[in-house]
Amino acid sequence: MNILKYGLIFIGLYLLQLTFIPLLVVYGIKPDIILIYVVYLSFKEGRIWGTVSGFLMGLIEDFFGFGFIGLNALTKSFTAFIAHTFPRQILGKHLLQTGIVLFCCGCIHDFLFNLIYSFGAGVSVVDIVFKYAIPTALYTSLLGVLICAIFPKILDFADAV
Amino acid sequence: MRKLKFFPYAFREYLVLVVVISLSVGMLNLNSNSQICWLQSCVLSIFGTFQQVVCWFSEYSDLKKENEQLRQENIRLAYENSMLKKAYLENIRLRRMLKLQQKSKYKLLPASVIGRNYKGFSHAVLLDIGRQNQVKKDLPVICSSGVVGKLAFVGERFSVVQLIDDINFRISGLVQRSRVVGVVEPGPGNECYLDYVPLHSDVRTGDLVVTSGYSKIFPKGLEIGVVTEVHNPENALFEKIKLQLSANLGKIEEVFIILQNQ
Repeated sequence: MNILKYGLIFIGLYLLQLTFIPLLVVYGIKPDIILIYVVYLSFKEGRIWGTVSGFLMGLIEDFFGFGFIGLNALTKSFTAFIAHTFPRQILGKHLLQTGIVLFCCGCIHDFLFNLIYSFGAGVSVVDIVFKYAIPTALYTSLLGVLICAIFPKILDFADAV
Repeated sequence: MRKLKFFPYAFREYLVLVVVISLSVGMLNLNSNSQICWLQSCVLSIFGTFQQVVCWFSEYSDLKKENEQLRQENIRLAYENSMLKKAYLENIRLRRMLKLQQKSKYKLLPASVIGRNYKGFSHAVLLDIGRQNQVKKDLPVICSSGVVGKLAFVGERFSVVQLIDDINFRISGLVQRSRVVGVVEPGPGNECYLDYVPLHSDVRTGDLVVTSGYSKIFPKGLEIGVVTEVHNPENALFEKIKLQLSANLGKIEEVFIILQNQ
């Protein structure tokens, strides 16, 4: 695993998340490009590296995102762990399947994030799922599919761990 | 014995997960720890500087147009200012005559919004002021139209404001007309509610809700929002009162921090 390469890509993507992604906000919902990258790393470098990189990237997001320290680290590492459960073969075959995997991962991530963040605030699970988790996951998966359509080589997992 | 030896290897993925989740939960518990706060403050300084540069670039394109508008506005305001000075002096004279006490004012510190963080229920903005401007945690933040939030984290040069529509934000509100008191809290869909108001209380659509003053943070009388819907649900203890916040939180650029009551 080329840590430096992946680290530099992360920095580039994070700058994109801070500068360009806010322009894509629709009704307060914005895609999470870091989550797409974490899922990709989990498929590419295996579950352990995926989980660890999810934790580290989430932690950096927490420090720079002025929220609860540890919340993104927790949700991103857990999502990376779960992402690896999906059979790797389906991700590279069709864009629709890639979208479904990203959607499921996005749902898990956003559900967990909002559940923990709003804990004790009296928000129902239905609201968390339908007002944030599903719309955000849908948007993230659409962006992920678009990226895969533009750069199809991303889905080549021939040399993956 | 051999099986036992290989046990950690076979389950190493789960071990890694347990370790990172334990670390994350540990950090979630240490959010108010002084070392974590110091680290966050350092990161905020770097991030704030970067956001200032980003903010500057995005604003630069509109600068020329804005400059022209501001010149026109300046002429208009200069005239208005002279009229207001006249009215103010007249007001002082009348107050003296009527022996009225001057209404209390607040010491305000202006600040610019240089970054926004909207993620799910978490709503915050980054300001270009910090400890070096004598601000501290929990100070109220307002704009010309009403309450914006409170300072949730204060770094050396930058601060984070927890907005009034963040799911974990609560503020005591008072219906200005009928003096009915409740708690303003955000709902799950970016709307806000005045909660804990007993059924059939005197609250109507269009009523103005202001801060009640029953708080160590917000002084009395700051505008929060306007009542847009009132429901008296059956088998419930409290009314369901929906509010339209006075401050347009999605578009705020300039805010004020209330430093102290003068």
